[in-house]
Amino acid sequence: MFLKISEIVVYPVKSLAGNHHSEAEIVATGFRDDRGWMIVDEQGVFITQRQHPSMSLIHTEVLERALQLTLPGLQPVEIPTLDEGPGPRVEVWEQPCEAVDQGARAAELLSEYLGRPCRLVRMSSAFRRQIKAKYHNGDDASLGFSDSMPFLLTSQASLDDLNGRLTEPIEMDRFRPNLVVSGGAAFQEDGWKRIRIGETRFCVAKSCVRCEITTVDQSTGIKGIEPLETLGTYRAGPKGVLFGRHLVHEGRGTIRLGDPVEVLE
Amino acid sequence: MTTISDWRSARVVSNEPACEDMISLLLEPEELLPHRAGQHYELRLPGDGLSRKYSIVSPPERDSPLEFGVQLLPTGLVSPRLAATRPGDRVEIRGPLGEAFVWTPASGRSLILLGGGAGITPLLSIYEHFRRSVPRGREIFIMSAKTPQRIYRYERYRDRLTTRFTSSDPRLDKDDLVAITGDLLHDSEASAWICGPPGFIDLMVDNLIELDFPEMRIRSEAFV
Repeated sequence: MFLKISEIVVYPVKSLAGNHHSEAEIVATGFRDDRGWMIVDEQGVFITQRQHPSMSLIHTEVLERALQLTLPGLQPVEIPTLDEGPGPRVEVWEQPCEAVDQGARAAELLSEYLGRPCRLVRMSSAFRRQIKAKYHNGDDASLGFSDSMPFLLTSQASLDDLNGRLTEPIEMDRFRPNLVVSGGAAFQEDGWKRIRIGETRFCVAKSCVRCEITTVDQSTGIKGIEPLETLGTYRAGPKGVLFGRHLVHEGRGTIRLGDPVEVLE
Repeated sequence: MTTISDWRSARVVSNEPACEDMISLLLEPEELLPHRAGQHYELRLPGDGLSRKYSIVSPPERDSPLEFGVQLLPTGLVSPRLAATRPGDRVEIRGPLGEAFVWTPASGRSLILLGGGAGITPLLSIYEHFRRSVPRGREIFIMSAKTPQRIYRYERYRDRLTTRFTSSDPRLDKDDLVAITGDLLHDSEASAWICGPPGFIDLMVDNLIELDFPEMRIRSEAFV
């Protein structure tokens, strides 16, 4: 059956709400601006919805030279983008990254909202966060502040299958994909090794082990037990339950809604 | 009614060295709750808040006394004290616990077990339960350890194990896995159960996935 791209989502700030697009450009780190920013604690360690589910209620927009933050109940605030300046040592899953602090205004707003001291940082433009060599073909793909891979692809057919097993259906946004493919059979993406979307080829590097963030209703910021419990009954893998596949781009290009997805291997 | 999350008393039936760095601890709980293959208990000394998790070595068919393999960590706070217990002493236990690493006959008629060091303990329970519940099943039990002296009750189990000793043998890599497991890798009934240090698990999971073994038929449990 014909496979095509039905959603394109970019998450400028790690663990905040994502933005849907009709097309998105692929740069060295994945979709332009995807996880270009993140929120860190006083030690420089990343903060996510794992600790603060209400982060899902913060919306962002990337402007020309600023990041717009919209916190629940507040007017949007523009945070001028700083590409140079004091570089705190930050880490994602104990992997050090070079970053630029985005100033006091963002830190105040986010600290107030989360109830703990924190800072907004942007990945240094000179810094290249490497992807483990075994997951790609030696070209220059790298990644932003995402957990481990530049792209996450999920399947609408797989979500439909899962929703058929849940008492309360859930939205795709809980899985925080960059790309959603529609058409085909549920979980056929399990067997993919290489695909082409539009003109761009991707290595399908590994399955995504799902964490508790999937239990957060992204529109309310409230945490429950599903879908992890139900996924555990039929999607358990070696290190947790699996939903979605991580991709590494093998070039550049632009992905558009409706682009055909071709399975190469 | 006693539940799996209640602490209860158990009597030490025996406590013997099982290899260079492990003891075999037999415990008779006051109240017995059935366990499944691959599960563990939390153990602690009476009057001590500090507990550790230990896998059950005995299969579900053998539930009293319960056998535990305890790795001795010289600077540990619990294992040296468990090692110092004598028959008749009492310890406290809570369990059986753990749902993610439970083998049942529904898991399939073929079995690949991959253990690293002290990670052998839950695999022994799975192995025995498999042998008793799957007639004419096919299985392979691979153990990686530094030396034979680092394998839990090696003399007792050596005939059932395919061993690789890291002090003298080449590393257990993809080619070696293919050579050992043969067509079990392509057996649609086969599931793979890996237990050991995190680095061992990562390597074995990656090897199996690269060999096209279905990811959803792999389970792992890390011993940190």
